Amino acid sequence: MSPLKHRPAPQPDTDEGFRAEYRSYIWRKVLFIAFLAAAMFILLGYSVTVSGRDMTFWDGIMAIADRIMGVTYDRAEEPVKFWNDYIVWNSTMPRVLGAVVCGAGLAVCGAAMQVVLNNPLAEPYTLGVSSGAVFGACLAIILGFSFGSIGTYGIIGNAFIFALVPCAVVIVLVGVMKGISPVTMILAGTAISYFFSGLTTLMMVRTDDDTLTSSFRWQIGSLADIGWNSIWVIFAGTAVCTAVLMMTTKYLNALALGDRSATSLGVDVNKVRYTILIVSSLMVAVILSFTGIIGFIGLLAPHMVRSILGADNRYVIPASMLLGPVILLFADTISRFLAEVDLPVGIVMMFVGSPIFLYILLGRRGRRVMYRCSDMPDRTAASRPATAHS
Amino acid sequence: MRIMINGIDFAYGSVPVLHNITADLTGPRFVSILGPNGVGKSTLIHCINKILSPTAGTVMLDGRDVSGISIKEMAKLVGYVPYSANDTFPLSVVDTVLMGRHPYSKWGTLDKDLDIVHDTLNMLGISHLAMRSFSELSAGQHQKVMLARGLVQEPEVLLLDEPTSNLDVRHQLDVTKMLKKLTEEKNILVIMISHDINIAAKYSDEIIMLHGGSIYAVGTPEEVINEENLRVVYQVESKVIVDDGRPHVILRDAVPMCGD
Repeated sequence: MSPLKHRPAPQPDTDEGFRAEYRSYIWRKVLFIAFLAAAMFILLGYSVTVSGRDMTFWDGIMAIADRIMGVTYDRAEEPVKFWNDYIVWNSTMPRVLGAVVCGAGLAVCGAAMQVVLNNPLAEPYTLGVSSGAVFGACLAIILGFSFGSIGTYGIIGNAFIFALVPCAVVIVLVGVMKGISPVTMILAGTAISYFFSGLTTLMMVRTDDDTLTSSFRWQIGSLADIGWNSIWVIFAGTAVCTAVLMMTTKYLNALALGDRSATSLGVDVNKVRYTILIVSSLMVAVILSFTGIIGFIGLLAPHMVRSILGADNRYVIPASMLLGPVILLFADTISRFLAEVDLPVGIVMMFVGSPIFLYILLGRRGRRVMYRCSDMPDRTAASRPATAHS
Repeated sequence: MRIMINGIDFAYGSVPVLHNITADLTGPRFVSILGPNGVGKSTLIHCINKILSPTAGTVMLDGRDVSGISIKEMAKLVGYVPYSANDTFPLSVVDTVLMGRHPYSKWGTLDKDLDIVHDTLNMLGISHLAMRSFSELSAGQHQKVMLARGLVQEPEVLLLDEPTSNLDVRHQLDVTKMLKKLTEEKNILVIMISHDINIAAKYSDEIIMLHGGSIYAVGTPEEVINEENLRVVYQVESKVIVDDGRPHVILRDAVPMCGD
């Protein structure tokens, strides 16, 4: 007989045992989110050192910590630390923070859009934001027409304004014609995208080679041009919109049950759908107008999160907000490693994203959690013992 | 709780579905709505819980017109168990059922909510599925989870759209018997759409039989379930016997359609 006194473990069939089981189930999700946050900060610390300059991880951390603590270096006495600080804070940091903010925004937006449009294929650009933005940018680059100022800011302003046009059309359509289904919304977005793409292509085929190249290059998502001025604008837009989306997570869960069920639970489905579409579109428009089209992240991050955490949006949204930056930082760090061949992050993202996405889709968890064909004979989980939690 | 349906009409665009439906239902009572496919059974219950708005007429809950009640308040008064569930982004069973507490909940999950969910899952015999993903379950288990979600809403009226259609006979009996028991224990009004006339007849206090978008017959099972009504409404020949004081239908044949 053991002399140690021990409390008997709560039995799952009692209310107390059930509560304990639920809490540990929630804690596992919280732990994963904390792990993602740690991974993001470590990757951020490493990523600022990748600049072509010989710098270790700790050099990068020291450069960040010293600047935050207010320590400064003399260029003549401590040249190594001086230049580390200079490169980190003037060159890599805005770009790295750009990756964090854009990755977070696009991933959160993708997660929310998928639920609102009830479609796993939905992503931030589904309603035509990107085709509108490209049209706006090309209008400035090729025809020299822009709202407000000229040059880079003219392109950014145009891209932002036209990015919102396709979403506005879809949202107005939903408002005017009652009872439009999410599928119709996606198809309407696709139709409007084609229209804008047609206009863009028309401009591109009628311009000279140099202008064609620069307008094409604008479309390829890149973080290279993000500086301190732009990062603040992107950060402000993303922070406000993400905060709003964070507050809608319970409503997103209700929407995931289907519109009728959500209504019967007291959720104003149209109001939630409108709010999320408007906020998401604004956020993507802000990001897109500074970076061009960074694809895949809005699709990849939420699906990766769901394959690990399940589809509860109270955790999917914050986890996506952290996994998006991890993936984009990873892709951008690779793009900086390969700086000599000038590879924008948008391209790296496609190469990195495709195999990971396929792995998730075809992997056992992915098939089981989300993408099970309704007549697929494999009901492996149903035959497992009840204690084997997913 | 008393539901008064006063002459409601409903049309999907230009296609009329319901015409001049009038009924007076007072709880505690177990009411079944019967009728062939496409007659407007689901439309009728959607008009009761404000998912749809009738094109004419009113629905009153305890003397209050439902058009003046917010959907949030409706969710506390009227629970709804749909025919099928959306599982594009499936939650776990426990989180799906916890959504039934949404009308009452704040941001966190309270112990009280968890206890209600646990008791309900136990009552339906599915507590062992609690942490599993909704998409991993069979169609019958889906129905029990949705039923649990409706029950944890603790409503005064519970609307169910064919809640036993995917269950085996044993579980059809269990669930319907449990609904009947809940009606008395919790003092609620249960309105169930059913295609199983015998199960409805065995447990219902009242049956509403729809035909051509209107109420064809209403009353106790003995008053409504008879060979003539079944011939007109379902186009079937049958023999109705009495078993344990309740009508029981033995189906014979389909009434030949014109041109057959």
